[in-house]
Amino acid sequence: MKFLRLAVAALSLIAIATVHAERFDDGLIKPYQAALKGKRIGFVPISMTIDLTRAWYAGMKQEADRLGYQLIVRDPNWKIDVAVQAADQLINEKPDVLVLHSDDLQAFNRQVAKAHAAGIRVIQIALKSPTSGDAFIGPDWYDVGRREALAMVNSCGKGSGKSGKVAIIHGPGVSAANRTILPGVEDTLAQHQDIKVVSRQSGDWDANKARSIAATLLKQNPELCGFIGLWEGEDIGIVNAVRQAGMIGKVAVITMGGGNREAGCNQITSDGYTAYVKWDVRGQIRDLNNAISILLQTQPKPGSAPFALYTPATTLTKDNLTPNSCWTLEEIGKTE
Amino acid sequence: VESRAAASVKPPVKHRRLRFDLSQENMVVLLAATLFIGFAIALPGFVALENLLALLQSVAVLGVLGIGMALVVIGRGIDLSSVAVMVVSVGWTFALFSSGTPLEGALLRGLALALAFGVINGLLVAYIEIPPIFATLAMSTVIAGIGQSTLVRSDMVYIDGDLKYLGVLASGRFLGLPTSVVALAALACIASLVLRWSRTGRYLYGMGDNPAAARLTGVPVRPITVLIYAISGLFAFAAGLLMATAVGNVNSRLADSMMVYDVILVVVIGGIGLSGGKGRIANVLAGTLLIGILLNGMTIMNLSFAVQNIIKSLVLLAAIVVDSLVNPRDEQTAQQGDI
Repeated sequence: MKFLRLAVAALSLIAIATVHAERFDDGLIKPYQAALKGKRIGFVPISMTIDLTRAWYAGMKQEADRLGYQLIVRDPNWKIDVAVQAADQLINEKPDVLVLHSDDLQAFNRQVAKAHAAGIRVIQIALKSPTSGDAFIGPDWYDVGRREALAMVNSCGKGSGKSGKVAIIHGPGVSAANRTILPGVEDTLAQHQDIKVVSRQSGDWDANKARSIAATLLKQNPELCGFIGLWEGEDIGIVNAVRQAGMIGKVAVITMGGGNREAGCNQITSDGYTAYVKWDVRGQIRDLNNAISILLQTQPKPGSAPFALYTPATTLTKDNLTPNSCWTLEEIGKTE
Repeated sequence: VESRAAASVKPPVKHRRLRFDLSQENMVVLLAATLFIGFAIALPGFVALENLLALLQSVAVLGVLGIGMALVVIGRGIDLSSVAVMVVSVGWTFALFSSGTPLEGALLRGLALALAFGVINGLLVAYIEIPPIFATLAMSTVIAGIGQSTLVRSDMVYIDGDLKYLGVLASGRFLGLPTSVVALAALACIASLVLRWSRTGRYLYGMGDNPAAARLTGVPVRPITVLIYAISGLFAFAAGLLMATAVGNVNSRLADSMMVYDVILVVVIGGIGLSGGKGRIANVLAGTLLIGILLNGMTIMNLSFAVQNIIKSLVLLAAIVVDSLVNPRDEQTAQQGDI
């Protein structure tokens, strides 16, 4: 009998323990976990060789591993037609959410509608196609351009005592940046009579070309006060032209980017970039993960309620730079 | 053997000197001079010494790649992989350097890689007898792929760290000239001397002029072919160093860009016939100078990128037309796969 009583006591203790081991249910945690677990997210970047895409991927992967959903990446290696095929292929495979990244405004326009028709929710990152997906995450490019122009006014405008002559080195004519960022630059500069744009050239997204153009312009316009570029990867060439001409500190170079330390902050520290308009990739990673989570939990009818999470832009200069202003891929996490 | 090979190559000197020589090289020099004078009159600031030095500096990379290409083309080959070799070998060098490898070690490895790619190109052409245009085109893709998948994972390799003596290449001056221009001149001199005075140089002309005859007369055609592609790899590495130190990063996307056509442009425009056996390094320099003047002038004129490209392409087209008129294909020795 004693044994039986002991056994009953032990069993009831175990029962109590299991009740206690069951976590507190706040009413959302279980549906939240269930909504995410086992889901499939498709990702088509421009190319997995870009620091931005590798950072986004690393950030999404960490969250996917933590919450038990799958991230499928298809790398088109800069080829738009391959990217469109990859998106089509993924749509056939019916993931729960499709994340699309493009440097072309029109590339995925039809794929968004196609995905919606197939019942797949679409997140677009960095650049939106005319047809809205379910979420957009990226900078307000016009505002990025405006900030660059204002930084230039700050360096070369009336108060600076300089010539106010500036050059714009932009992307190739068909690039999205010329339609999204450049108008922000031009409109803002147009409001400032003290700034005069003496040259507009395409650096073709190539630092070497940007370097030659900048070197020529520096020789051609001894009074030139500054350069505005539209991408850090190209504008490092401008910095080197200015450095080789011995004009560091005299000629302003203003650019923008996602906050990679080598590309951005290190060049501010070494006096290369006078100002750097940053839209922080770390914030975008969080926005991406949140958008995935929201879409999976709320399950809206695809395309019925598009929303945007515009990445706030900040203007970094030597004065407001902190050790945490930029990131490295190692910090964000391993990519494989 | 040597003298026969040489004799079959060298055009009779008298004949060349007697009439006014409207060779392509002279036309290019003439054209460059006309453009130069035109820009000097029309564009304020063009003729300033500093602008001219900047002009030379911007085309130094193209010039060095052009010399490497010229050597291959004279031997009746072509190296479409030179830009990929440049990008991957130098990209790897600086990726290693930025992650802590000592500068010398990184440079040696990059150099060895460029050399290895060149030797493979040469073996494919010389021993497996794949037409050079296909062998190097395929290799270009392979090299770019190897680079992207294993050696240089990122589009942009930033040079992070103190470059020591190598930094002199970027912004240093030698006798008042930018170091990159001096480097171009030095490499041009070496290549020129080798072509003109060395046995290998003479053989190369023989091989380009008539490969079958060269082989019959005892020229070691295959080993020299391998050697010349290897040298092309070395020039690509040198060009990459000039570019990377000047720009501050390596853009690995250049590996599959159209840049190799710019290299062919300076070679063809200078008058080195694509059918081989003809031309000197001076031709490359003339072609490089013409492109430099053209690009510099167009930048000063603030022409749009698209217009600049159209003008550049039309110049290339014109050069190829002139090339095919001045250097017609030799029906006796032409082979399938020749350009």
